[in-house]
Amino acid sequence: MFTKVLLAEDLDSINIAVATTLDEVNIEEVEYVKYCDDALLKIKKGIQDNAPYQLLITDLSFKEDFRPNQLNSGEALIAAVQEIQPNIKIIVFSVDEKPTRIKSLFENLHINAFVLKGRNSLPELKKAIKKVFESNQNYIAPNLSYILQDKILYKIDNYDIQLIQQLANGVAQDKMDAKFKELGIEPNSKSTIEKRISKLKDYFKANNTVHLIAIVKDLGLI
Amino acid sequence: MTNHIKHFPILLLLILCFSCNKEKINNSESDEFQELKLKGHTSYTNGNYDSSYVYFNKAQTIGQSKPVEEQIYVSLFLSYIYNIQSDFNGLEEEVTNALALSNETKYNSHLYNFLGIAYEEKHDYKAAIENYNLASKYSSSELEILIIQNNIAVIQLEQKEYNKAIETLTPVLKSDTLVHAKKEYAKIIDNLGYAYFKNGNLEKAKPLLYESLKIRDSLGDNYEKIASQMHLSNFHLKDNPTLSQEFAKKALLAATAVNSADDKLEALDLMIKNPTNKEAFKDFERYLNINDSVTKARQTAKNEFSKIKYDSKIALEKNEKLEVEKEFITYLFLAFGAITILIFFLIRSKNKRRLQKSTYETETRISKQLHDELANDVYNTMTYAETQDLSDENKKENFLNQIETIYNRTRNISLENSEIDTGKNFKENLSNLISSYDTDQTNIILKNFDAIDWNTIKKNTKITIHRILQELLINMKKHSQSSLVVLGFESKNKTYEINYSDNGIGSSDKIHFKNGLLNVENRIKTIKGTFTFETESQKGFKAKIVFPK
Repeated sequence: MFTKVLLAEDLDSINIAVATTLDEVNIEEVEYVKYCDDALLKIKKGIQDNAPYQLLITDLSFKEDFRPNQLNSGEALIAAVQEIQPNIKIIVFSVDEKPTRIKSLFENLHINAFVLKGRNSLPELKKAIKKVFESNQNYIAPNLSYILQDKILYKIDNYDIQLIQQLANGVAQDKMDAKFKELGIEPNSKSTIEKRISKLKDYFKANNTVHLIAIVKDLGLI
Repeated sequence: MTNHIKHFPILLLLILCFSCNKEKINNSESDEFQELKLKGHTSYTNGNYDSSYVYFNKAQTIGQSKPVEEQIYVSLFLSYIYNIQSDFNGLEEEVTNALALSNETKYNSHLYNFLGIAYEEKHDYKAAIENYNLASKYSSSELEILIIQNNIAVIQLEQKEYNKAIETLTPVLKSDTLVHAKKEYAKIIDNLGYAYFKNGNLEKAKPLLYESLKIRDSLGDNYEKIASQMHLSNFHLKDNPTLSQEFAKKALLAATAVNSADDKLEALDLMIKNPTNKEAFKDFERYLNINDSVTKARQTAKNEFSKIKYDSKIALEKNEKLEVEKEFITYLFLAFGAITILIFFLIRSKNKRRLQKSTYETETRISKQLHDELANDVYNTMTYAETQDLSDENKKENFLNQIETIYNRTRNISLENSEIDTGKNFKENLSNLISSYDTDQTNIILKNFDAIDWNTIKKNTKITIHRILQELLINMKKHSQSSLVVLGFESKNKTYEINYSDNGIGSSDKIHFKNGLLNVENRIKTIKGTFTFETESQKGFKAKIVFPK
């Protein structure tokens, strides 16, 4: 397990909770800081003393107070830390669940894990620490995993609408290629048309072609 | 015409003292005014009085904001030129204007001296003497005062008041200053001698007249000599006509040398009058010739000078007209600027009010949301904790669940009101927003999602559209029980259209529905778009958002 961990978090109550968790996974040395600037200093000190931190757990937003700081967000801290110690592992522990922000953390700042603060966050954090320690794989809670997969939204265009329109007009599916050729619509091969129709049935949760037409008509698309 | 000669020294003196002044001014400044002055001065010393006049006149026009001394300096030069051109009306006007500007400058004595000359030439001798006295009063130089006294005496000679002239000149001769000013001294004793001669006191007159000629001879100044020679010719006309004729001939020679037509005429006049002259007829012919050409030349010069004066005046008027036009344009611009600023502030205050209104609306909306969605739940949870034994594992779990619900709601409220990236990531963010509502239960289908070029759309519009779609999707998730949602994007001629439609339970209560979407309607108004919807129980919900490109 990690032996030296730094936690950057400005709320004491959370610190206590996290401390318990870190204790449970048997981490020997844990340092807590409330400011990003202090975090960077600790990291530097660790390098200087030849005892670098192995893991940084950080929040994203830090409340501004009377103390002026150079670094004011988790993102800024991560970027600064990676510059002086690129091999350090980083877990972000935050309430922010904006997909683009989380995505950007993984893609641009190459963090190792993201744990959303919530009801199950402490067990999640434990899992994340273990996973990050044991492998080079990134970790994100299952309910947020859709963010990292490029989820394919169902997209249709005018071609699909024309296709359904012709079906609604009474053109049989096996005559559709001839009809499309006549109208000059491309692509118009039998197989393409077939694939399209089955895709549309899938999208619109239709059991058959008639059902599809009914649904699409109800939605006002044709 | 001898008068003219008698006045001449005082003018030279003044130019000299101005030249030193000028040097100083030119070193410190070099604007157009100073340049014109310099050019005027150069032309003046070279004897190009016409062009000098033009330069100084222009300097006077543009120099109206200059210190009074500078302006009067220019006036003085113009006065010299008027005097040389024998335009005594012009001279009087110029000097009077200069004195109107200020009669407290160091040039006062010079100005009053000019006035004296002007009145003298117009034969207003009383006024002339008054002004000479004033000039004398303001003068700080002893020599200047002596010269002015001489000028007064000349007037008295002119008026044939020889006794008065003698009275004026006698004390002048006692001044020590004249010891070093031989030229002036010669002039004064010449005039005094002439006064004695006219008064019949030939005994006193003769040595003075001869001494003057002697001094002038030693100075080698032909111009000055003429006066002495003619006075002596006059003096001897009766007792020694031959000598008189000799002086007259010498005077004619000197006058020819300095090319002074007036003096030539006067010398010829003396020669013609002389009884010993056997060629009086020839001399008379010569006199007529010279007189003709002098009159002609003088008239031409006068005409030319008048023309230059007139041209300058026209230029001045044109300048003034231009100035007025310029002023008008300036005022026009100022008025235009003022109106623009006014409109700017009006629009700004209107926008500010609108912003304040929308800020206020947002605040009340969030406040209501907090009250409706959180306060009740927090209260319930509190009551629950108060009344139930939380050491019981099941009850603790229930308690935690309630708190988690509250936590999630808080986060949702925060998310709904968080900032929106309107940069190039906008489309991706929008897509993320939509996909976060796309679940196993609800399929969201995008139709022609690429139809809108978000890069060309204003920041404000982007935020509004994002919020509207967010609100529609939240409503959908909360109430509609839809399994299908279609969002269609379309680009029309001047507008973009987004069509929302779902297959949810819809509502038969349109008014209730409208209230829920009031926010959306308010938002779309701020970007000059429209929002229309239709819904019927069990028939889903359809909405159309239209906004300008």
